[in-house]
Amino acid sequence: MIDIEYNEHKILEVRKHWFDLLYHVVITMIIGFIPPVVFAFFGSVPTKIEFAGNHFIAALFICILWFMLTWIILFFIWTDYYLDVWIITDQKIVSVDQKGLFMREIATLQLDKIQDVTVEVNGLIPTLFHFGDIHVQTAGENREFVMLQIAQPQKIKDQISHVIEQYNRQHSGFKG
Amino acid sequence: MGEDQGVTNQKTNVRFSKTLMIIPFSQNIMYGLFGGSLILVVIGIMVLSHHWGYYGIKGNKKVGIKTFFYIGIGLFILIEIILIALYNVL
Repeated sequence: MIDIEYNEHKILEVRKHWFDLLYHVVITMIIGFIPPVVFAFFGSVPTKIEFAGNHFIAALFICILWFMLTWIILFFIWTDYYLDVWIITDQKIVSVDQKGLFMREIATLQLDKIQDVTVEVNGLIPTLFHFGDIHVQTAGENREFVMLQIAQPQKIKDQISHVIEQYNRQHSGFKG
Repeated sequence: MGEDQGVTNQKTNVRFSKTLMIIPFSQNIMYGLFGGSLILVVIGIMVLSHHWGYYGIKGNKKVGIKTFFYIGIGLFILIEIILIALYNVL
């Protein structure tokens, strides 16, 4: 569970564009429909593979079994998509990089460490569907944070810049 | 090209070609496959439930998705049980 401090406010929760999810879902669904297609093919042409019992029930049984496993894989994909997130608060950026279901990398970046935020939209599909990468350059460790395939990257970049600006104004106010 | 003579299964009276791959798809095999997939389903549910509960973001509601997932799994299991029961009847 990702917790934020009691005096901290979550401003934005950023995930990858739905196109990324759709791409994986479509691939999985194509694989999911292999058994019905195979059975339809072997049912329509003379074949050398036969079931000893009720062919239709057996074929349906295997298809449903396959669908059930595909169903779980679809939710694995959704969970992977859902948990791969950037949380932007009024004090920091938390980057959760979910790589599959069993590898997870969480990095926290304080807003005062951010030096530069850039947007990269590369290719026809990202341009058409308005998604791209956001690069956040940090000052201290010379490390770059990258958010891949984010929807409306320019808008998100503006929001991050606005949050940083507010943070800096607030903190310079305390000092002065 | 010689003519294929074929063989007949005495029990089921189903005629097969000599080169035919016979899949003796019995109810026991169905139970086996169903049991095996059920183990995978249970592991899948445990992994997903853990991730949703443990790695979720505080305050976010994923109830709709969870319900949708469990309804789907329940339906698939129900259909599988009905199909196993019908296999020898039809």
